[in-house]
Amino acid sequence: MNGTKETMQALVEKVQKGDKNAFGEIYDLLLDKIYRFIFFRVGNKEDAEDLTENVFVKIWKNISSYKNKGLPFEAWAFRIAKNTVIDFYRTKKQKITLTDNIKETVADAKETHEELLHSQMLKEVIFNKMKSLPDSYREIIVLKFIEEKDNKEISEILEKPEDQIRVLQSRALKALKTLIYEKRN
Amino acid sequence: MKNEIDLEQELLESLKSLKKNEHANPSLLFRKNSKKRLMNIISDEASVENNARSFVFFRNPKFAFRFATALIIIFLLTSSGTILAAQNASPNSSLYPLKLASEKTLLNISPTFSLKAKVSVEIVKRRGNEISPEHKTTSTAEYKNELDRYRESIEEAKKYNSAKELEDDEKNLEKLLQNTRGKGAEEKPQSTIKPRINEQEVEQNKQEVKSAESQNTTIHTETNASKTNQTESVQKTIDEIKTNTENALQNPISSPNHEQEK
Repeated sequence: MNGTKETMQALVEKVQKGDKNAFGEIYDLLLDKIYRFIFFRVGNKEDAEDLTENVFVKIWKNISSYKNKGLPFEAWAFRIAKNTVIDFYRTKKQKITLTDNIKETVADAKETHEELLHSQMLKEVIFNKMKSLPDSYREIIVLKFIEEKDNKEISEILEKPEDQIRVLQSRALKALKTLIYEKRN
Repeated sequence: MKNEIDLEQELLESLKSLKKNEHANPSLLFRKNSKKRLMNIISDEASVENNARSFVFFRNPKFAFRFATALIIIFLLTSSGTILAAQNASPNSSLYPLKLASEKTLLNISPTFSLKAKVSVEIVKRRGNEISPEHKTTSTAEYKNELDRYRESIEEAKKYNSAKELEDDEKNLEKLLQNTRGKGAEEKPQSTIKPRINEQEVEQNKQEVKSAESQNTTIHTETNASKTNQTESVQKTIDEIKTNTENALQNPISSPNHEQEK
């Protein structure tokens, strides 16, 4: 993880000195994470793609103003993504519904057929139930449990204190569990 | 029967595995095309900024942007009014080639992605509005040219805008093309040669405008008295473009193959 952060910082410095190709490498490193963060928030591929492109254009436009004063570049990029999604909600003025159904297609040879079916169904249920959660809960679930970021980084992205992040993630997980196990019951 | 801890563990593992899900990740096609678009934008912006930064005064990229935007406004609102008048020219007008040339120049000198996006969308709307309804006022060949220009403007705008932005125009174009196929099957394109802009000259004009911009950059650092020189310099460039365009109209390119290519 530290190796990646150092690489990212070195790439950012190169871009700031005028190396355009270095930005391409930053794009490759961040694309999947930014896309997933946006996809789980907006719920469909088309909007996720549009917003992801917008985010990278904004990152490019503002990269010269980024200064590493304790805020890692990735967290700064995620902040831009977060704000872009908020602007998108304001523009659309609608409740975002997750319309795509995630269907697991990769079979894990170690799982039995029943276990596989169960895990596939559970993922579908999770994905579909997330749409019923408030956006702040969806946001924290994506950052903490899907992207597996630590609380320090999450607090930098969301600009909230760490203890608030801990409370939020606990509530979000509890809310999701309640929705899922009520459904299953 | 699973206990609470097991259920929570199961949930956490499922959430973690969503990261690898195919739908939650960008497709290969998007990954490739999006990167290409982004690197094109970066190349365009870097070259404009490099030109503006060649003088000490423009080391601040924000100032370079403001100057380029101001130049676009000056370019449109010249004292002669010729360029401004051309903006409303219809395809049959003698000023129409000037309109096309000024649009191309504006798009090229727009310093940022968002400005290029706006300018390119504006150009698409103009081409759409120029299309003659029901062949009433134009020949088949001219109507076909209008549709071609519309199509080209949409293709150009796709470089800077998402597909959604241009969805309505693409549907409109498709509808117009279908109408053409239905009605025009018995009509053959006319073989008369239509006067067209000499594209090499337009390219040269573009270079001249860019060069005029560089000259204006020097002038801008001088006192207020020199602003007159700046306006005169821009005016001179615009007059030259107009003259060259008129010359191009009087000396049409004979390219019978052009119609066939399309």
